[in-house]
Amino acid sequence: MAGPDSPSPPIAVGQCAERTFIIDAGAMAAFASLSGDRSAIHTDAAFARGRGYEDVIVYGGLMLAQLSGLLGSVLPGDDAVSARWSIDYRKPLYLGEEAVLRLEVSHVSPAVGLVELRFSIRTGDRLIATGSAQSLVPPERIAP
Amino acid sequence: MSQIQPELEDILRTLFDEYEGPITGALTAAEVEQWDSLANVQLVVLAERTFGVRFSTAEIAGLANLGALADLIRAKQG
Repeated sequence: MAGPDSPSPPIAVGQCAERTFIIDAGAMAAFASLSGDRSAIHTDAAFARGRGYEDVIVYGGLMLAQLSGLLGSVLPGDDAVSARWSIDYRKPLYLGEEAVLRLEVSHVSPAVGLVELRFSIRTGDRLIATGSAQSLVPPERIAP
Repeated sequence: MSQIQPELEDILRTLFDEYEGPITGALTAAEVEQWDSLANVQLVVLAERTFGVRFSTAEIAGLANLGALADLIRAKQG
């Protein structure tokens, strides 16, 4: 992240950011408590295996939490306000798997201070989710 | 609004799915309950993408109604 003496470069189409994350049992338990979602597919490994999965499936909300972290801390950064998120879950992410969330700026509109981003979440060769996000930023942060 | 009208109408019907009134060049945000400031942002971005144009803040601020947006798009398309 840029500090006060090194202002962030203008946001432009093609800019990227990524983070690697692992969802552990502690995060799953915390999300279950916060959300009240204690469905067996997320909490009971035997049940999940009985349904043909390898283990409990990571909550989609925890992947969105990672998206929130990357949007808010890196791209567009801490002066942005989210306006819209969309996500398609394609394959399950399992407890303890290392995943990579990657964002890319797909459209900018200086007129209204809006940045559109596409994102993907992968673990190895497996595509876990894809989606898009829109963030409102001060218009001067967008490349003319 | 001519050729631009059908595509703008598609955008508005998608964004303002509860609005069932007529979509004409005289339409303003005041007549559509869902047309708030965030929806206006979505409208601008969808118009930019659909018509391959880019607006400035001053241009958007000066628009009086939907017809003015269509005129601006037409002018930018040359």
